[in-house]
Amino acid sequence: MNSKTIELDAERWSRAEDLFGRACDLPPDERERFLQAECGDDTELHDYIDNLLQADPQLEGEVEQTIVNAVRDAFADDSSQAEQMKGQMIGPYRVERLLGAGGMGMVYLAERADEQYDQQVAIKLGHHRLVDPQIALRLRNERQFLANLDHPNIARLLDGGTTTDGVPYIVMEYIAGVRIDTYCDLHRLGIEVRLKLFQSICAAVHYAHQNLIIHRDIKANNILVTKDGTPKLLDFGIAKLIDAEGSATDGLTRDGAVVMTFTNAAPEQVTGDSITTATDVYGLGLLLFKLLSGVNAYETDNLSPREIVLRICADEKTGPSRRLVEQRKVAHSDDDTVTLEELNSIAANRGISADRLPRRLSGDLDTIVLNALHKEPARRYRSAAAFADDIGRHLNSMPIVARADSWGYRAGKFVKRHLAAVSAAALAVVLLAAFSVVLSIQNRVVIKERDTAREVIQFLEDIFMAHDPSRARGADVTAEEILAEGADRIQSNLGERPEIQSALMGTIGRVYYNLGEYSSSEPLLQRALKLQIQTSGEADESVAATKNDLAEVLYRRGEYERATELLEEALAFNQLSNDGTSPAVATNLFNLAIVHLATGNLPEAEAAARSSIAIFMQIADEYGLELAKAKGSLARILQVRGDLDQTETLLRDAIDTLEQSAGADHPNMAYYLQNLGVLQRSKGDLAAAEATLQQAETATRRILGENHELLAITLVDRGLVLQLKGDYEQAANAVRAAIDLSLQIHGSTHPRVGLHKTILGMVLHDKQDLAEAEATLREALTVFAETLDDDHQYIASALTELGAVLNSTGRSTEALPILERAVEMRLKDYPPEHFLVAATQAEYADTLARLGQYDDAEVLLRQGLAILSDRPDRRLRRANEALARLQTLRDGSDSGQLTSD
Amino acid sequence: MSSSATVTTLLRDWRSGDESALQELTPIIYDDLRRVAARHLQSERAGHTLQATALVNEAFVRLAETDMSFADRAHFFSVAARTMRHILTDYGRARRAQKRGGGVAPVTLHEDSMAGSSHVDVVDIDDALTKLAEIDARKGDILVLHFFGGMTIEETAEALDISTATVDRDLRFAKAWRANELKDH
Repeated sequence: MNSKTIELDAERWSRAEDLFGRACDLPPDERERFLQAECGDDTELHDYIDNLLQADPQLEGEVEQTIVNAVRDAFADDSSQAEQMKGQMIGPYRVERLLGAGGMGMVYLAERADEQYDQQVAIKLGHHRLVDPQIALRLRNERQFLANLDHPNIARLLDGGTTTDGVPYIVMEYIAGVRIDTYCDLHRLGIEVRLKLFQSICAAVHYAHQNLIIHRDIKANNILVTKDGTPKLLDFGIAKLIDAEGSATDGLTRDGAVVMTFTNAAPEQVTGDSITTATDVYGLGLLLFKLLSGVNAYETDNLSPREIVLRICADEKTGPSRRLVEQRKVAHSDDDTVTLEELNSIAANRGISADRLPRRLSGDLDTIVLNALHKEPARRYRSAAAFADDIGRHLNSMPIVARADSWGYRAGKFVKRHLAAVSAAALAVVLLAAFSVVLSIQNRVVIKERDTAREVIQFLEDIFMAHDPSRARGADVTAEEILAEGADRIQSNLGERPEIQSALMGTIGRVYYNLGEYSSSEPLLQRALKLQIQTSGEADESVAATKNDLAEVLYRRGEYERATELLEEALAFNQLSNDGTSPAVATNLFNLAIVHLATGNLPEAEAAARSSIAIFMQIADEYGLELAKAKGSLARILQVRGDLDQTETLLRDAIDTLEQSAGADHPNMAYYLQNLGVLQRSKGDLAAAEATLQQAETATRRILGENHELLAITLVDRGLVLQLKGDYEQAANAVRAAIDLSLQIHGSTHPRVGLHKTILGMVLHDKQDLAEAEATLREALTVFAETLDDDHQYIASALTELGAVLNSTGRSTEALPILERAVEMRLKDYPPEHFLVAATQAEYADTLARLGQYDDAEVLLRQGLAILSDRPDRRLRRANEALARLQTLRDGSDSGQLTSD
Repeated sequence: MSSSATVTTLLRDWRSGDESALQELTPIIYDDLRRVAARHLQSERAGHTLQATALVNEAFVRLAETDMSFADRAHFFSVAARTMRHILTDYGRARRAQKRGGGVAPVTLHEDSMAGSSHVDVVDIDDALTKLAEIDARKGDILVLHFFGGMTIEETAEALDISTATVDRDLRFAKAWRANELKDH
């Protein structure tokens, strides 16, 4: 019975294991008895374990030896063969040494043994013995054909035959040279020299094609450069000759050896479609990719054959510049210094910095390389010569023939791919901004500008590619990160092209501005401006435009003087170079008005705003939104000037204009309505104010969402209107809602939270919820203590109200030092006649009165009332109440005095 | 080229259940095994014995960080052992295909059959291991680690999270089983 293998279920397997283990532990002569006792009738199990126990330890050694052999063979097949070949004869040639090994076979350096000619040759020896004389004959004919190739850049085929064993071989001119990629690196050839070298290879390939010979295996391995710098292509048409089995049986033999050559295979070689001259164009494309970038078009080293096939046949190939950027990204993220070093040395070998290399390759060269690597042979360069010609165009700064896929197409694809990871809205901002640069450049027809546009596209793609979320392992990428990356790269990569650098810096600076990142925006716009002035001089349209944009940023940063200066310069240029009514002029004026408003220069602000409106009115069809904004600004100026009636008219006008030009959902609508409501409140038109603010609240929720700061502000404003109306209950509710929202938006430690709590404290005070009012005000002060400087006016406001509440609870001695401090704080920042000083002093006077210091209190109160009387609000009301109380108290004390007297 | 930091990180990722880390790790080790072997072959005489386990050890020295923990080390060896198995088996299959191919005999410029060499080739060993793994996965693993990775009993125990006694017992049984499987080849 053969019990070498028996059916073992899990139970029997563990039983066998157990018995085997126990038997092993017994002396050999006791094992049989043990097994018989344990196995009983189960002779099958008995025999099986017996077999295991008898298993030949010799065989165990053999297994190890087999593995050793396999290791040697798997890793060393080629080398050991070479050792044995040394000195052997192949035809009339004596083998000297191994030159190299490839998928197709070994290459030996050999010498003619008869020394008829003192000639060294390279002999390529096939893998397989030929048995079919028909095939041998055909190979001979083809060899003859190849031997006719006579080109300075093609290594001559000299001879060929079969060994005595029947293995085919061919003899080639021996080229003492180094691989082309090594040669280029050794001599640190720059991109242009590499391109020229590559052109001569294209010429050789083209020559062979004209002779109806396809190389099929163009790669750096097969191109040597001699001492005098001549590139020589090896192995023309050899693949077919040597791979005799392949040519005899149609198609590639897919054993290990041939799979290795897949790395350089064109898609049609992998899929088994017909091989044409386009196959060599593809090979040339891969070669150029490597020569330019130092990296392979795709890595195949660690992939299974199936994965390699997938990669080769995927048509989404990455251009050399982007591939470098990706590599750099990986190197960065892994902090992999070795790779970074490699990247740096790749660049150094090309006489360029690592930062600049991708930029040098982006644009034309990417397009050219990718055009050779199309999956469909028909879409590649139609010939090697056409390939070389396009490179020539690039070298001569002419427009190339190859076209990259359109920006719109790629941008669309990008957005689709990344929609999930990148906030679509944020991305749209970036894309639109970038797109506008491209468009504005493309609109000009100059060739150089079109190249610029292409470079811009490539640049942006690089940034986006670097942020491919799949590469970032699912981490979300924000638009800010993309921008930051872009800004960095513009600084480092585009030094040679100031016009692109400045255009992109300007763009990203503007995007930052739109995102409210003024500190990031400013330096970019500053640099863009400087570069523009350097390249175009001061009197230039784009210089004026950048000055305008920079002024906007400076305004936001509070640098009014510099902003004014820039705007006036831009305005002067635009007024001169246009008819004085251009949108640029109107925009400068508009911005100037806003800066003047901020500096308190109201007459000039008003004049600028009115001039701006006048121009925008003429072009309102196109600039309706700008017109509305200008009207809104003028309204604010007038409001500050105190012309409340005109302000209201203008604001309503702005709201109408906005609705017509941009619709009711423009964000400014929410702001204008809020402004209008506040205006109506200050005019004392409380019913209208409440209605408008209600409208503003609804508009804010709809346009800006439930979580917007403006909603909180509008709620507070409505609360203040309700407070003035005496509806304290509703007022408190509105302000509480605003506080909740502020907490959500800003967290608990933000001055706005404290400010809203201060207002709530006032409302609660009016509502006579004194305990709650005090607690709320103390909360406000806690928030301020954490977030503001000690002498901030918000603190003075909260202290003023706290003192007032303490007065109302009859704790005036407690209130006194608090209000003294508040008055002191007010006087630090405001002149004595300021209404805030007056209001705080009135509360202080109230304290004095309550403490019996009537005369001092009266002086202060009358001063305050004089200041507050033209502001019909709560402060005036409270001061009047204090004066009345003073008189009552004094009367009471007088009568008391009288009675005591 | 990948740094040792990557290898350690990938090992830890893999140990914590990230299978994709293994997929990244394998090619790194695969490449290094090839590099180590190539260097040996260039500098040494032909016929020099290349031990699978020696190659794995050298790859480890090259790729591992000095502060690599014992557990990381064990896992490195286990990945390397599997990789080695694949390299050898792929080669063995290619050789077999070559032998069969089109009825054409292989070029025998050198004869690689050695004195005392059996008919067992590496593919047979692989098949036996596959079969063993089907019956008893743990024993299959132990054999792979032992033969292709040169792991000690302690390392094997650590890599597979079992006791050394178990490894010892399993290895004895698995060796006997495999010898039995292969003996009629």
